[in-house]
Amino acid sequence: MERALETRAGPDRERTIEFAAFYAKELDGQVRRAFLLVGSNDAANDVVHDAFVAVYRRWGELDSPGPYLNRVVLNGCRDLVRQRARHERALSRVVPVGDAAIADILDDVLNGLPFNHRAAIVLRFYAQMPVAEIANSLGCRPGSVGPWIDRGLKKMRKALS
Amino acid sequence: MIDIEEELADHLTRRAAQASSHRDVDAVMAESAVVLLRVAPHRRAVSPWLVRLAVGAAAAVGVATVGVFALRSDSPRPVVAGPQDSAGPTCDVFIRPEATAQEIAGVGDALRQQTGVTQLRLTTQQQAYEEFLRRFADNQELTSSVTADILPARWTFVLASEIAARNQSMTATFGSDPAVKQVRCTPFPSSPEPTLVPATGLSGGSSATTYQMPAVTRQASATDCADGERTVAVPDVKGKLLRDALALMRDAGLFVFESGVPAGDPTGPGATVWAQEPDAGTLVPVGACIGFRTRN
Repeated sequence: MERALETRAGPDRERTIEFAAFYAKELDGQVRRAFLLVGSNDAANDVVHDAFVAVYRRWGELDSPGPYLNRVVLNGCRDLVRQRARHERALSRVVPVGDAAIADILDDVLNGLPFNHRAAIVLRFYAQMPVAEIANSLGCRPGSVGPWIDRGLKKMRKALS
Repeated sequence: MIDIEEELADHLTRRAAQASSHRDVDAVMAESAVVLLRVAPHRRAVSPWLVRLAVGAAAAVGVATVGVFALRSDSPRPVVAGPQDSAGPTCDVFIRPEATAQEIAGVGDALRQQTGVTQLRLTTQQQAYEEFLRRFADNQELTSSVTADILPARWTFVLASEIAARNQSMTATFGSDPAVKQVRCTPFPSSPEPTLVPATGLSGGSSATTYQMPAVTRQASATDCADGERTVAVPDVKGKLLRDALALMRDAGLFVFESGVPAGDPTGPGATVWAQEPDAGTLVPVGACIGFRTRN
């Protein structure tokens, strides 16, 4: 038994060190992105940490943990938004008019977009991801991303005009 | 007309800045632990370069430049200067990060029992981490990727020069301790400017000499070598027990520098020499540096 524990100590140690470095590198960016998608700091942290748990469970099997983490975080955000939509039917989708600040208008338009459209915009304009990477993260074809972004931008322009 | 894309990017950046991370990697790993019992073991074998860089950099923080311990000969022209009662080299015994508190204390106890060990003090992992943060404050990418638990604690002490000069090798004494990762010592504080030995395999600068052994680049080491006029032939010690080889070299008036760090060569009682440099028969000045590779 003692030998078995000793045998595990080396690889487990490596695993822990590798994962800790990955966690430190990815955490802030993932939380900020999730925050833009779910609108709540606590919820963003919950989603991101659930995603890290999922990544850690598969640590060592994944060739590229970064993209996998992106996907899990986005799926988590999507689930949360859907859940919230089901339970909070009153969630505002009204686009303010008049002299509302530009930031408020942008927020409201973003919140009113379907999740994939919103995620595509956040990943493109905040995370500066290329279209191919966005498609990979959202699990869709690259050809879908452009139209989603265009539709979102069109709505924003309309709301701001 | 508002540039919507630029405005949007600025807006998202400002909004994202309101987010704050709840940093708790331990909780993530603890939550995964139950599941880990059922999954296949991971297949990765190599740690990321950043961690290795960080550990290496951290190890360099509190240490001087040398990975060397010298055996001084009783040659008629002693090349290690300094009064007999002066302090000798400062040594650091780095502890493996995974060592338990008991093992760390055990190394300290063993050091206290060594003759000539003075000013013994422990730098804990947390203290090493704080040193690391101070030293690399301008490299956020590096510091943010390192946690205290991956840095080595270390015991630091000053070795009385007369002990160091005689034949006590801390590398040999502690190199085989499973809790010890590395032993490093500075040269004698009062030693003269290092002089390079004009012999095959030795090259380098003034305070950081790279000592090239067969197929292995030794760590930078400052050496105290003679530039005397008298030369001696290097004995053939291949195949001999390390301790016998050391004695032969010493008797010939030569130094043996053991870094033992990059190669991880054994230094225990059963270690034998399988390579030496310069080769046997080479004429070198008294006090010249000889390198060994050893195996059990």
